[in-house]
Amino acid sequence: MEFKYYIIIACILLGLFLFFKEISRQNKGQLIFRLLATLTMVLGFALLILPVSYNEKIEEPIGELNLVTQGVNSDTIAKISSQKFTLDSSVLKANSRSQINFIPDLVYHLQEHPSIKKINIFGYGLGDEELAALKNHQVAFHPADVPEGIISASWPKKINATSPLRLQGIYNNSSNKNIWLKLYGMGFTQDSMLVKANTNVNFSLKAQPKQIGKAVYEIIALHKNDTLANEAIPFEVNLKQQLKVLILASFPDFEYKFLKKWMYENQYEVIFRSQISKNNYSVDYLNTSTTNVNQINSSLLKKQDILIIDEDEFNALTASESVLINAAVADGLGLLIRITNAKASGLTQKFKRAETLQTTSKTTQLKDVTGEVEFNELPFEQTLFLTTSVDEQPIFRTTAGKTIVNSSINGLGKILTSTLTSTYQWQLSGKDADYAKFWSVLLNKAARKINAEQSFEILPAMLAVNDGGRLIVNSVSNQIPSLKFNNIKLAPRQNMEISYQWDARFWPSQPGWNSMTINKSDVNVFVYQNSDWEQLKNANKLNLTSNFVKKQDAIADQEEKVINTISKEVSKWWFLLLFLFSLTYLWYEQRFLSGI
Amino acid sequence: MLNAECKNWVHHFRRKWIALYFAQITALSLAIALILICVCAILFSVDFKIWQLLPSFVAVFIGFIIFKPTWKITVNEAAKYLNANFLQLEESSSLCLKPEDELTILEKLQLQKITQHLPIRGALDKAWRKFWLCVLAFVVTLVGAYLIKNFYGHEIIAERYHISKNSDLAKKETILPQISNFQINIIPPNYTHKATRSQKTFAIKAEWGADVKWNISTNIAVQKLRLVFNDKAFLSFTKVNDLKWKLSKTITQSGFYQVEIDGKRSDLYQIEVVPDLPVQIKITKPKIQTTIDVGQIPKVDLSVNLVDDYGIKDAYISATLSSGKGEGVSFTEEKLNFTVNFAGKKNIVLSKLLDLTKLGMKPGDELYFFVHATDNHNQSSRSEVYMVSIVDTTELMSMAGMTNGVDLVPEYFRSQRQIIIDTEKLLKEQVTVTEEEFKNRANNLGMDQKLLRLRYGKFLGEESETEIGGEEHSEGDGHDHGETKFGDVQALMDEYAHKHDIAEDATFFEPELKTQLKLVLNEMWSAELRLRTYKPQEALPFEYKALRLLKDLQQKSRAYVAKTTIKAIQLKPEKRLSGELDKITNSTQKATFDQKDEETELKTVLAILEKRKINNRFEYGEKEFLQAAEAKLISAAAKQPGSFLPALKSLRKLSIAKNVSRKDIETVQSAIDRLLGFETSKPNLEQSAPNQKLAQRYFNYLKN
Repeated sequence: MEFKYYIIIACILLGLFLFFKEISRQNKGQLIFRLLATLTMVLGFALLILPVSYNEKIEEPIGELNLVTQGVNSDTIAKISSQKFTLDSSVLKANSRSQINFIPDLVYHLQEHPSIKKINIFGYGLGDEELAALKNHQVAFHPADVPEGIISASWPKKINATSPLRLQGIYNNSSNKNIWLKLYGMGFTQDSMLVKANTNVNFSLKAQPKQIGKAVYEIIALHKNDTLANEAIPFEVNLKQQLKVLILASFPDFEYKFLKKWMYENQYEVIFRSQISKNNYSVDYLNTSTTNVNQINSSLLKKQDILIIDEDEFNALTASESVLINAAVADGLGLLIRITNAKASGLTQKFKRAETLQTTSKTTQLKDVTGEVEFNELPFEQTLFLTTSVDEQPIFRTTAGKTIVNSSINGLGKILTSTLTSTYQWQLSGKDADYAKFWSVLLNKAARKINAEQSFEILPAMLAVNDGGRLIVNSVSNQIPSLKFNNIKLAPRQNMEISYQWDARFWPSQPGWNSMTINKSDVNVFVYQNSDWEQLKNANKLNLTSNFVKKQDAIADQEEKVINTISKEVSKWWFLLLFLFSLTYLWYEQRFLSGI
Repeated sequence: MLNAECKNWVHHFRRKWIALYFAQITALSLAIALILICVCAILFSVDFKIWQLLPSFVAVFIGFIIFKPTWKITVNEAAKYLNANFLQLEESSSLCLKPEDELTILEKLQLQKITQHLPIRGALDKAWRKFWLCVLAFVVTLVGAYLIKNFYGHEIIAERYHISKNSDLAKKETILPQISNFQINIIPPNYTHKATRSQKTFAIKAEWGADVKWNISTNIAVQKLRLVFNDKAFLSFTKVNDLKWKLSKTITQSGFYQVEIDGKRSDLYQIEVVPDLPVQIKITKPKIQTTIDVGQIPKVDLSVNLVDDYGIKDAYISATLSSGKGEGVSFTEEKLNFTVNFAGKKNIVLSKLLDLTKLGMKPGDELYFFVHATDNHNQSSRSEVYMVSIVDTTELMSMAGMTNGVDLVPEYFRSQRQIIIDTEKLLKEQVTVTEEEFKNRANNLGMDQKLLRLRYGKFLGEESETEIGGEEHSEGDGHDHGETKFGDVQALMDEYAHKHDIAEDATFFEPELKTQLKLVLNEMWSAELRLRTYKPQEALPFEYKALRLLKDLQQKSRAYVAKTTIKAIQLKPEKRLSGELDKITNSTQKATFDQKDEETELKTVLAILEKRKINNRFEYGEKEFLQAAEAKLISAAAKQPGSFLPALKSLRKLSIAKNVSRKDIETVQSAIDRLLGFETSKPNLEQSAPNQKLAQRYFNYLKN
């Protein structure tokens, strides 16, 4: 039982005893007054011990906290009149002259000082997690200038063999110097670009990595011989995957002959079937074992990644075969149809085409729709083109804008149509690279996509040493994934809404490549140094904080004053007075009034 | 009397003194000038010539004369000098110089006293001593300069010129500790006329076929000393004495080598062979194809520039004359010499006037020629074949080719021919007709030419007289550019505008044909100009050229296929169209591309090296990959030591050393990158997101 109840009980008992004593007293002249006095006396005594408080509403100005973060200049600090705080010890060091107080933990500090309602942030701002703590506060942001250097960068973390590494980003050069950006890797500069003075430039650098596996390239910002920045670009190159190709030809032509040879030399598994006469076929099995391909069946199609077929052969398919192919495409098989006839007929009718008249030009110049791939011209004039319907996507066009290759979706698979019949001319004229580029794009677009067993994501994107990382795994099964980081077991947590998504926290202690095991498959995780990509991180903070402030502005209370309810305790002196006064009366009555 | 003797002697002394001084500074100047030249030669590594001595000597000599003007010394000063140096003169030599009648008695007595001592022996001893010192200095510098030129200078210059290009290699050279001293002598082959040079670095850059001699002294007695070339060929040294070894080899191949002492191998050293290139022949005149039109002088001016790295031995023109037509073509070959003494010159400009008539060329004949040159290593080279032809007027005038086949625009051709015939006729009759008549006829011919030109102009779509011919307005000048310049408003507008009725495009000729037609018009225009200005003689070449071009034009529109014999296979009529397919069977071919993927191996090495940058060691099994890469690098370095040898060195360092520098790794990486070369893109299977049941369900809903 609580202390105050003891007191109350004791006081009631005392009161009852005193009442009894008063009533049983001989002289009853002043009884009423004496009883009253006794009551007030006991009450006063009780209240002397027990505190009495009441609530009061007061209007008062809100408490402010000036938070100084990185990137703030000394002039700004000097302008802040009231007390300054920081979460960053480096800021403390850099501005040791101006009196700044250090807050080790923002959440704790805010709890401790409930009066703080408004927070003024100076500099680049705060990170995601720190901002989350300020959700119930009014925040004002005084941003610093956009940091100088690479403020944005992106590149694929994993690329396929032979595909280029493209690094894109933004360089903010507010200085008066011209700066060279260099992509450096494998001991030499792979690509470079000049950033002129006082410009903010979107840069795009390209390299052709040749290694298999992990590598760390560098992006270097140079002014003459001064290195202004040197950041790591970690990425991985996948091993070349073997494609399985089935080619059905109505008759063998040069295009097939060269394509077959090219695929054969690149060690792809090719089955090439061409018709000799009715139901008689000539079949080439390249880098693969023999199977019967006289009849197209679903198990054969299931094994293939892409089916290349010419229009005549496609139209000559039996009804059951075309149904099978259609089903296989819907299930992911890539289909490449070579359109050769100007007049549409049969099954390929739906692919609309147009023929132009022969002109004097004797070449065809091809262009990728995205503009990334460039080709040398082909030494003949292409007259058959495709028209692109609503559900088709053009892939290659001539420079005049006429479509040569179209792509459309059927279920999981893709159907590509091409009217170009003599790409081997590139090989004949020694432009092997163009030939490879053309067919790579085509086959990459069309080929079946392999389903990954699981996908994962690591947050933050630039994970630094001793920073907490979060691993999010999407697995196929609903079983608990087994996760290991550098052979330390991680405890996964299931997403409340998405049953196949799991996450786990981990703390890398080694910079560089770390290994992560997700359900027996090993993946590589690159851990940056804390000092890596500083300007980019700062720019990110700047964006995060200003976005946060914008969001807060919409909901924040803009009043400068708040009404607070404060509980106040009644002073004990009053009760002492009451107590003494009652006692005095009781004593005085007995002494001077009752004795008469 | 006394006075005069004394005076003479002092004057004499002064003269001798000055003469000796000049002798001194001459010797000294020569010495200083020699030193200056040597210093300059060493500092700027130039080979000094003896004539350079003269200006520097003059400069130093003038310097002496200006800064120490001893020649200005007066007699009084000479007297003072004598007083100071010789006690016998008792400070009184100046008395000699005073006129006799001014002398006091006392002075006379004093003069008498000192004259007894005259002439003072050894008065010029000091000057003589100085002179001999100067001469000695000169002799010493002379000897020094000679030594420098023959020994030190040679090395310096050899190093500067031959090693400096791969100086970074030379600098880093590490030598086996057993070697106390070594010298490598390179003896270039005789024909190069280059002097023997010696060097103190193992990296060798030598002319093709040069003899290289290694002389190695060791600090301890060793058993075996040999060189290992390209990691496979061994060559042992011969022992001179216990500590001295020598070896010589003729270098004909680039690569690298190592010194091996008792089984211990040194660093890799580079061998670079400077090949002897054949003579470069550049014909500056005439053009590759020259046509001599009627009226031009049948002479061709030939101008050739020959360049060789060591010397040209001989050059001649090989000319082939083809005459006749069709079946009756005959060739005659002739060798024309340049009347020049080559004498092993490195660079020579030759010119020769080819007189075509002397060579026996007639109209319609063609001359093919090329220049053949041999260098002093008997390597021969030849230029491209040039062609000169003389236009055959009779051929032009003939009707052959026009009387048969498609006759496109025959009357116009005849007209041009007619104009030529008329012009020639007019020229023949020039003497007989009056001048007015002559001018009149010439003008009329000009009118004819104009009409003809206008008719041809129509083919080009030219409608008015003003547009025609005069200015060169051919394809590709000005307006037909594919690329538009920035700010070219017209070009920008053209892209969007719908233009038609451009005169040039309205005809049905191919652009090639049109350009030639334009050339014809141009010639016609020139002819017309001459005819109208009464110069038919000058107009004739243009008329002929127009006709020739027209003929070409006519020939171009024809295709000619020669008749050949065919051998047809005998048909078997019983087998034809029977529709039997039973003999036709399925055919299967099977092939597996079975080549070891060397690229993948090298690619893996790249990744291994990348890992090595972070880790401090190679993991199990990785060394095998490195060895494979080393084998590749060795074969590459044997071919191109300049670009692959540093990488090979670094790779060896990597596989042995514990702490390796990042630079070494990167050197190897970039070399492997170069070995891999340009990569064409190859198709790949792409990965998609994991196939979740939820996603599958969504997809199925979307599909239906």
